[in-house]
Amino acid sequence: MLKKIEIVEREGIKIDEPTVIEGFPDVGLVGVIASSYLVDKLELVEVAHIESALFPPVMVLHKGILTEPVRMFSNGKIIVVTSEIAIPPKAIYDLADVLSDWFKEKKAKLVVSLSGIPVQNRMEIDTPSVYGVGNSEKWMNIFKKNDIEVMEEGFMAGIYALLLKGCLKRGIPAIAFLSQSFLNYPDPGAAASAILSLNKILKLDVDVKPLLEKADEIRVKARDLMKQAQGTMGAVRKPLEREIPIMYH
Amino acid sequence: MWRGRRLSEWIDEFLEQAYSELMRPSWDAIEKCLEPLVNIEDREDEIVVTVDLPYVEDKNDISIDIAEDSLEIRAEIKKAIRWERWGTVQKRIWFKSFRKFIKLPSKVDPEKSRATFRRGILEISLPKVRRRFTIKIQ
Repeated sequence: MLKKIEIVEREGIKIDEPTVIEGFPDVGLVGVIASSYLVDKLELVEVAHIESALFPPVMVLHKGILTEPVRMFSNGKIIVVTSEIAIPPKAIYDLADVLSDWFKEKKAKLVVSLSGIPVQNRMEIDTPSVYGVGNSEKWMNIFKKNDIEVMEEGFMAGIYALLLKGCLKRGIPAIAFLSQSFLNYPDPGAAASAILSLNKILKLDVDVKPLLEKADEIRVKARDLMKQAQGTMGAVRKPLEREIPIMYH
Repeated sequence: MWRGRRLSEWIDEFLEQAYSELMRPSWDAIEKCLEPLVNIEDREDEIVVTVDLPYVEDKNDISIDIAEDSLEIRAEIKKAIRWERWGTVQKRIWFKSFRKFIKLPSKVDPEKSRATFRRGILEISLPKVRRRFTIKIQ
């Protein structure tokens, strides 16, 4: 019988104190676009997938091969978690818990979430800014040293908020990069900005030019996933991220 | 009882609309057109509709027909698009336009509507027909 959430690893996979990058479908599909691009550019191979009785009954075909929609790719040092379906709100808490446990088991040295933060004037922005969020104070200095703006006030909603919390509880360093983005439209420009911030922190050298050149194609192909994600973002209170919390402490 | 029935009818209608929106394919093989992503914001005095139109290069390639309660957008893609790595059905079709019909949540004044097109995003502001008036207390 299918478990509530289960990570199914491929045999013979060696992962050693990895850095984890995750991108799930939400604001502007920033995380999904960025993580899919990273899988391609870093030439990562599939190492695991996630099965769940809480996910829709969907399989994906790529080049004629049947695959799971929520998968993990790796080169042994970096793991990228990405999804081709919107995660149903009822699965988010369990998924964040299971993933955080798995990251702990794999002795992850850092978990990075890539996502978007909706801004109403996105049409007027050439290069979206990226805000950094860390699950400990040390990240404030690291972000500042790397010219990444710290998100000082605001709400966070969705799976990456729970992953930051889950990692904090388990003593795993975790950060999120939130790129200024359209809320309801796929935003490859925002994904490119998120990758540039990732380059700074992980000392990667991922070229985002090909991503920007394919922006229109991505916007067309990602319409259906964006529609799915629109349906779930309201349920996890995504629009709340546009608001400001009242407390000072 | 009457209020209860009205509420359940409204919920059914809402769910049916949301379901059909999700289930409807985002492309039309016969017309060779794609359905763009659309966002509708219902503000106090106006309805603002934005439409994502990748591959549309020029505002002159877009036509907008506005009625009091609906809106139809057509946009031409100069160089028709098709990719080998796409859906089994879609990859056989050259798509050459976007088309979207939108039922508006309240009546608008078509003549006072205005539109802009920047970075592939069309934004249409549709002023609502005013039905409310400020009155003095006697």
